[in-house]
Amino acid sequence: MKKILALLLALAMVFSLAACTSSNEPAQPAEPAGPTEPAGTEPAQTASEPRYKEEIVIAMADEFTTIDPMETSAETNQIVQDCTHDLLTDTNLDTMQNEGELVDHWEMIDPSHWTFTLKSGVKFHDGTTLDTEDVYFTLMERAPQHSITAKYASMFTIEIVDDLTFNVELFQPDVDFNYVFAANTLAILSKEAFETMPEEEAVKIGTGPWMFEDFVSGDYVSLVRFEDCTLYPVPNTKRLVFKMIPEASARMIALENGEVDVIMTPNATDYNRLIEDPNLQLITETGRGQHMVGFNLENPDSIVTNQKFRLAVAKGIDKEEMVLAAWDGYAIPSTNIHCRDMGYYHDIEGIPYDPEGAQALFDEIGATGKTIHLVTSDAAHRTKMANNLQAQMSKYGITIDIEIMQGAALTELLSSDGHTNGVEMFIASWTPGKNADYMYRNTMTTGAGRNYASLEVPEIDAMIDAAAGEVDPAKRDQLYLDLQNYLTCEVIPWVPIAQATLTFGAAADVTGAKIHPALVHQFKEVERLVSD
Amino acid sequence: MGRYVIKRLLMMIPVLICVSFVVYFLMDLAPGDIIASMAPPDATPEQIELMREELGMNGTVFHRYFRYLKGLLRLDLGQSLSQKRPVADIFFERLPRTMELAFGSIFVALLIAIPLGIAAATHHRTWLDGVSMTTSMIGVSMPNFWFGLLLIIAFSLHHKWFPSYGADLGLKSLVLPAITLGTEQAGTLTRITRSSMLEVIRQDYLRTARAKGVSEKMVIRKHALKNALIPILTVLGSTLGNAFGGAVTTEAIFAWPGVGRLTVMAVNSRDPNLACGCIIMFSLLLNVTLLVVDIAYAYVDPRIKAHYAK
Repeated sequence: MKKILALLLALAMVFSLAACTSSNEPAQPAEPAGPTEPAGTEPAQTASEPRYKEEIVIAMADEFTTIDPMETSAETNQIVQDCTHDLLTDTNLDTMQNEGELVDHWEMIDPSHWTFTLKSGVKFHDGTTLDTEDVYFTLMERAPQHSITAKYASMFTIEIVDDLTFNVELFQPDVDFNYVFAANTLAILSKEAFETMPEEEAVKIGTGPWMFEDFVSGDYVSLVRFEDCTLYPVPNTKRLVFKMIPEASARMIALENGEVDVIMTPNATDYNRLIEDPNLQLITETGRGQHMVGFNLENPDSIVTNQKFRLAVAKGIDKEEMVLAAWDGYAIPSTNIHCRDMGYYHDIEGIPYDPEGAQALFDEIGATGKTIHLVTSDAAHRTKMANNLQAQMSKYGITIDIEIMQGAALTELLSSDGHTNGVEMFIASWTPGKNADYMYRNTMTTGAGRNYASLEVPEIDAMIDAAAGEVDPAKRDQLYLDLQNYLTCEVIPWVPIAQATLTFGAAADVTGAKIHPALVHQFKEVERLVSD
Repeated sequence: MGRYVIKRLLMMIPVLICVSFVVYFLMDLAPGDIIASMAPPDATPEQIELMREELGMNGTVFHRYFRYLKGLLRLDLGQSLSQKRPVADIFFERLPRTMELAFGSIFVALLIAIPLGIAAATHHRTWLDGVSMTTSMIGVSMPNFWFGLLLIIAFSLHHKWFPSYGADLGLKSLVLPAITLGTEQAGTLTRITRSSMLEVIRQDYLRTARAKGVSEKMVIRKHALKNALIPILTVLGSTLGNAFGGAVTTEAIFAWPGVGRLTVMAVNSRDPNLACGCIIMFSLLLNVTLLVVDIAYAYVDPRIKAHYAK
């Protein structure tokens, strides 16, 4: 019996060692688990020409569901759609400016009248050439039929001037109207494709450098390069596969194993492995999402409606400590409600960390010994923020009672009945996809959809309207600066904590994988050089 | 037998309606509104209402449920709100992968459980019994996510024998997920096989068989195992049924595109039609599996066949 037991133990040890030791063999890409044969490399035309891997596999955390841009606002879908379809205007990730994508240039005649001119000779995947008829079809005929884009139809009308020029008349003046066309749901579709193909096929036709190839639900979506692309250089990679691998650890292993080339959102615990491994790289970019500790101002009986309490909390939070606790240091502490990479951002001082000042304020208003009900979602960084806040506030004699719920439940609660649920504080985040006006209008105006603090201050509503309607850039900049100071330091509907770092893991020789601060990451130019 | 099968099939109808009722109402009770989450942040309440109407999500939960039930009675599982495609299409696209994993894991489980269980019973209270029971206990207690990752690290990352994710390389892709899930199932099956065999091998007819000079191998294989099969079949049926819908962790670790992950996604995205459709189909599969197991009893035990005939 002892022999058998010894044998079993030895087997167990061998298995454990096999699992825990690393191979001494040089790293070789494993047979890929992708949907096709192992990807090779493009044959070199001449000895001096660089060679690129034919297939790039990108591992995503969430599931892709549809190629139709008008059916979804989910970032996972939009990442793929961004490769196949183009917008009239879009954010240039190098300059962070809104620039023309299909549009060559535009002119604001006045805040209600705009003229846009398309780039000439842009080809759709079906071979047709982009013109203003396609723009009119997309924005004026198809968009109104889809609830997600229907609202745009109520914003403007389009008049076609010629094949490349169209005028837009707005029902309400907007000096930043060009940002509306940067909405991913408004990707331009081919009118002719819809006239000659079934709808489910026609929606696949875009102008992007990649063409839709195949989609297997829950598994992968694959794209092939558009050889006749005129808007961008034809990609060096032949095929792009987006694989859905929900587990972060499994994504990391697949990358280390050479089965995928890029992974989205690796675990923070794997960052060092990505940095230290010479075959891998960690790609980082500060996200636009503003993580916040907010106050529900709806309940007049709650102490959080006292501005001094909010000021005390703002003074009392050590944001550096919270960044370490929630993101292992991979975030930039915020001093301003305004998101860092958006236009009109000012590096204001905000409310600096001042524990003595915070204690004095808490004592002054008799907050010491109070229990505050805080809600947040079950996302790891949010629960860590909540726990850290609880620990920090306990030093001032404030007890934070944390309630954790699912993400969708938190959004619904904060958007509707936070008051009736006794919510006093919350930890949430907000990622504005477009411009400064979009950011303030949706979070700070009375009755807005993301006004989690239930702020109802006519003065703020007026300030937002004034900034949005100001044509003079210098005056507008000043109005936004006033708004930033007023909201961050005086009203304090929420305390901005940090903007987290967004990350990709990738093979060391992968280039062109660009992180979008608002999460619609770009892979239009992704490629992997193969060394001889 | 035919009448029995028809009766059982008819009994499934109220079961499935009850399941749909419970799931639909629970989905409604859960906080989080799919329409609000689908709408852009700057959508007005009127636009959200318009979306609700367009997607058939207007009216009270009773109205919505009866609309859903009407479709269900026409064998229409409805449209997924999150994927904008028929639920049946999405489910049946992914079901074959789940079937592969379920049958693969059952194969692994049987491969481990039957010999171990028999060995434990025939060597009752010996070291072999102890090793078998310890092994089965490890199988049951070991978390899938941990064991799966360990297998990936060992056999995919270091030895590169199997892919670490996906289902594209056929049998090669199936090996690690099937072992992960099968090991857990083997734990329960080993214990059932052991206890069932222990009960049978003490019976007089086995003693008689031995006395008549039948070899021990034959006694165990032909006389004991066959009679011990009924409880094993019962557990096997429910294990297989559970594997159709309960392999969520294994599917997530190995990025296996099955229906378990689909259901979790449907619940998380608050897609009532997709969640309801998936759970109804699981329920149907479980019922059908149990029916097949019940029918299989008749072939294992002639007394049951005679009972069905009545």
